[in-house]
Amino acid sequence: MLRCALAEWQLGRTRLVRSRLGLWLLLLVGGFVLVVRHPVILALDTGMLAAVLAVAFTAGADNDRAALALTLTHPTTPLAVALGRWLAASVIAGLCVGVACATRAGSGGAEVAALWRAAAGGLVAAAATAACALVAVWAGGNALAGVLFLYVFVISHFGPPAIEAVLGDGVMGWIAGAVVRVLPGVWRYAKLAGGDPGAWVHAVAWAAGGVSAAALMLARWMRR
Amino acid sequence: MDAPLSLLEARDVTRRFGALQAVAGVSLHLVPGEIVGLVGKNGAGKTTLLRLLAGTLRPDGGSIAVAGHPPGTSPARRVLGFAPDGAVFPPTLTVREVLDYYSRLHAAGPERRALVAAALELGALDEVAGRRAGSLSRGYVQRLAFAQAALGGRRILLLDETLADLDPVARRRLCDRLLALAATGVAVLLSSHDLAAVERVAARVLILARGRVVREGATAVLLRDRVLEIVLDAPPRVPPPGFRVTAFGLETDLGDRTVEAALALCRAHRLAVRASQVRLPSLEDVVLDALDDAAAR
Repeated sequence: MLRCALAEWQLGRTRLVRSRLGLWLLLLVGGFVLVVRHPVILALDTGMLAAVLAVAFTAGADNDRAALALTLTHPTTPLAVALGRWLAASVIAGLCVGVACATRAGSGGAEVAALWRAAAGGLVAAAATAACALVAVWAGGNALAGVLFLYVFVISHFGPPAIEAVLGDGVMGWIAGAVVRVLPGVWRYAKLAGGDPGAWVHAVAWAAGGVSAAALMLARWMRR
Repeated sequence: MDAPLSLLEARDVTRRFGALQAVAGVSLHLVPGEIVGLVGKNGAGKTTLLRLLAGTLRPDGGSIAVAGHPPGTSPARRVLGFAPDGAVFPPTLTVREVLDYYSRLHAAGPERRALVAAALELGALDEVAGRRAGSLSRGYVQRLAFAQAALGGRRILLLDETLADLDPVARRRLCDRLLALAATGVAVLLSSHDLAAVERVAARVLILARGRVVREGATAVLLRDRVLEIVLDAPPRVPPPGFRVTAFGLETDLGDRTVEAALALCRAHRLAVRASQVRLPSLEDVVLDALDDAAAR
């Protein structure tokens, strides 16, 4: 199982150097390092958006989804494939978090201990977002990855009270608030660096549940 | 002597897509070392049948056993390789990396590297080993699909149109490799419209029409019936019973009749016979005949 999961890293590695993924990630990290001052927000934005991009480039394209059919005729399992793709995306996003935090540390822009905590939070948030993105792209392709990217970039910075205040007390406000509570969000994961148990449970639940859900989707999709 | 144990056994397998009965009660078996040709018109159900056997589709009814295991399970996938028509590979990987990726699912370390080398050799892919899978022509994609299907010493190969779009040299080479694999005990189910190639490699042929096996048998037996070709001065308005009109005159399956009896029938119908010859039928004749019979029923 672990050998099969690790085999998926080959796809992540080649996408990083042979597709536009590497360029997009470079722009993402560079942009956030230049623009974002707060180390926690820097790590979260970089990690979560890099995770969405990594999943979109390694698992979300039509060709990648079509190729899964052949992969599953070999002795691997949907869980190993989902785990491997999630791990590859998380490692890529983790590298981005590391580069962003190291650059900030090098420029002396933040306290080192705070940066370490921010980086740890960014890594966990990236892992949760990668699992969520995997479910999204296997359910609806890269169109949903685009929606998730915009959600993380814009809406997820605001907590449910802010969303409900904007949309009012109606059904729309309630639905939007519920979505923001359920999906990985910067507003919630900003507490990861401070060790908030609720944020950690949410992130770990998304990582484990997302990979399991993606594996189930793959299993059903591949054997109709 | 006991009959060889079936590697693949399907009984009364059915599959429906909405109103379309794609596979209707097909039974077949594959024994070690046997190449079986699966032929039929487009939409006859060949690809659906192969996907059912490979375990990527679930049958509505019937049973399938792959070396004693249900299809699609891990033990079944270890012994059964599937080369689908128009296979899609991760486009940024090179051919060598594609095979390396799949071989990691079978083995580790030096054994894995040996699998990749063997697969490159089997598919005659050395010359394109460094090219990205996304840039391959369809012929090379088919060869790569074949190579990945045979990875890991699998004992059953399901090949869907693997011979399509190959140049004559590559097709001949692939046929030779199929025969060599069969000689080592690998069972092959080959779906193809290339009837000349099927005739060359298959020991047995299944002809599929509307999801059913309409004729099957050993290739040598199917091709045993002689055909009498008759060249006429002018084509007849209505051919004699049992005769088919051709570009040059008529032809008929001789069956138990003598050539003289068949020619006498032509003369009785006042047809001016210029020349005649007896030939063995091609697989194409047999398939067309079987499909005509199926359509008439």
